Amino acid sequence: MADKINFQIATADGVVCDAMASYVLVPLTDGDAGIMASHAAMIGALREGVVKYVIEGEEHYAAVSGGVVSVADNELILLARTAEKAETIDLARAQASKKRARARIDRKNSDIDLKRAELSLQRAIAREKAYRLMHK
Amino acid sequence: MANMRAIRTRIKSVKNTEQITKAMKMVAVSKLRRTQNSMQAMRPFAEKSQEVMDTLLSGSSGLKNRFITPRKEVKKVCYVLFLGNRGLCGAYNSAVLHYANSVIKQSGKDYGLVVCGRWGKDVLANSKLNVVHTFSELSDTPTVDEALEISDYLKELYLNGEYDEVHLIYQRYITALRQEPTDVQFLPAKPEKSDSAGQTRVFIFEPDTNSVLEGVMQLYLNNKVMSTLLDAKCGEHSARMTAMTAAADSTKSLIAELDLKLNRVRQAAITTEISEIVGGASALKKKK
Repeated sequence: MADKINFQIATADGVVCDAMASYVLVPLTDGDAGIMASHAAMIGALREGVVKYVIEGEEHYAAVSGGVVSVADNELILLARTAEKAETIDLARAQASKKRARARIDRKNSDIDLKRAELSLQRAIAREKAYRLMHK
Repeated sequence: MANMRAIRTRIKSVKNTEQITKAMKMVAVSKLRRTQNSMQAMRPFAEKSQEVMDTLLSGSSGLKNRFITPRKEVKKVCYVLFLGNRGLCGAYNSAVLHYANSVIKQSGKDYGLVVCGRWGKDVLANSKLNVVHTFSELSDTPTVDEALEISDYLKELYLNGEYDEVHLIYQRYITALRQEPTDVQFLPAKPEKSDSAGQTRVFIFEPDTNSVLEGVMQLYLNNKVMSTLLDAKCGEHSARMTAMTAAADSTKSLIAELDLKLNRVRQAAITTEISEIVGGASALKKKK
């Protein structure tokens, strides 16, 4: 198992994913980072986006929204606010919430409302992207 | 002398009540179990978040975060009350309210209340407390989405400067039979190192410690709301369980009492009837 890293996605709802992955691509606030086995110890801040992970040569995707990622002792733990595997994403719901967020941004009520709407738009886009990557 | 029929109806209605209380108890038991399961599911996440927090706090200095730095002057405090969705759970809800009242009186500062739970709209209206927002759509077994909604709302209240401190007031779950009203400061946060933190490992921080801290703080605060919500709900369900067990027990003793009364009345009626018959028969005999 020397060429694999123990990969976990944990949220307050429970552990979403727990597997040995050969490659994981995580969306950090300053750009995506590819992580493979025996990566140096690292803690990074996550942004809303899509995580790609390769298990047994097969590519998988998950949409995550904010959190941190910690790498240590050949173990990658992704702590996210919310996380959804592409297999469980409901495309219609993601598109509906994207539309809602767009409408809220267009209305421009207040600064904070705008920020929140932008965040939820990014989340919806990430979900949609994960779904599309899975079903391409 | 009490009417036999009246007693019978009474017994019937008490029996109905007994069934209802028993059913409510069973519901509370199953909801308690579900809530405890979510608590279990949350544990690995909470532990890992704490680990990351430990590394951050022990490894680096000069950390700054908008959620941690206390404000110079605390003018307005927000209290968040975690109440149940309904009554019939003993003194659970009123104890929280009572405690909140005393906390507010003690601090003497300007305040606003945020209420989580459907219970006691009219009670709160009568109490003249300043309620600014109510989350009334919370389910009995809290979900992460609900916790995120509350947590985002509270962060916003704090960040836009409306309140300088946010406190959570809820019934801390100690055992199934005991809960204790508690007041916990939510914002500004006071993240603590856990006792097990000891390793001094060199981590790469991507992009820098303060952005990582922001991410961890968001998780930490969401976690806090979620665990408080779960704690409060656990307490509510077990309080309801206890209350309903007590109610079911007392219906049992009430039924026994009523049974005894019914038998006495029945006995008395039979005795009167017999003495009437005997009296009538002897009167007839005398005539002959």
